[in-house]
Amino acid sequence: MGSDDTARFLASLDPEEVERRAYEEATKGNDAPLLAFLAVSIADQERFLGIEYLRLASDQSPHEYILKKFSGIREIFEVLARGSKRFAKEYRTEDYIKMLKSVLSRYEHARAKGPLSEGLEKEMAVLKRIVAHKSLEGDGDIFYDILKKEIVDLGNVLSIFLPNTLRSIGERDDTVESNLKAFLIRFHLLEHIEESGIFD
Amino acid sequence: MTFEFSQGKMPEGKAVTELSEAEEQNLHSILRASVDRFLEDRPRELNASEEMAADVLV
Repeated sequence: MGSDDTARFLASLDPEEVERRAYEEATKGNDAPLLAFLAVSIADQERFLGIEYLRLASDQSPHEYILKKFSGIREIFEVLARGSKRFAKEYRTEDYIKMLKSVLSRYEHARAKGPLSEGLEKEMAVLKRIVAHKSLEGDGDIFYDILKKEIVDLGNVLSIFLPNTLRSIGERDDTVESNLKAFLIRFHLLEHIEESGIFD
Repeated sequence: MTFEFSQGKMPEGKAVTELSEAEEQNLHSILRASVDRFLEDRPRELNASEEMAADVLV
């Protein structure tokens, strides 16, 4: 499907109809479209937080305003993801390590093609220490940024594949499902870290 | 500090059909805003102030 076709398809959709169908699918157990929409919004939140010039209300700082706006999305996403019969999972350290090894392999692949920037080299070093279960003292902020970047990237990927999901709603979409699972493990790890405060 | 979460975290959530009336209303508001944002954000270039002004979440 070309980008023009995608644009025409998206323009033809009625938001009320899409919302109704995503909700109805979720009540029938196919909660991938609904969770994907919420995931895309969470990725949007992370992008908004990086917009320094954003000024929306005279009596609120941008970050306060956005955090208030989007806290509801994260809360309902977590409730539904944890309650999902298809996507709920109890993650353990080995799950997170496996995921982070796959992230690290992307850095290694990129470096094999050419030198990385200083920032990416630092991120890669942090990932190597984590997968080796070594101390992370002092590197929590870098790891936190890596996770947020991963969440934004996966939100973007989900948004690219959502049109196909909407075309075939009611059918299983493996691409969206696999990216949603990848998003979920990063989201849960980020939540876990935020709750534990171990990197504060 | 080492990276260890070996105990995991038991999922404690609700399926859509188990939400309270207030939670369901909240979900519809959030979902509608998410759908609107998705459909109107093509290509995904942000006009932040317009996007946030259109958001129904308060």
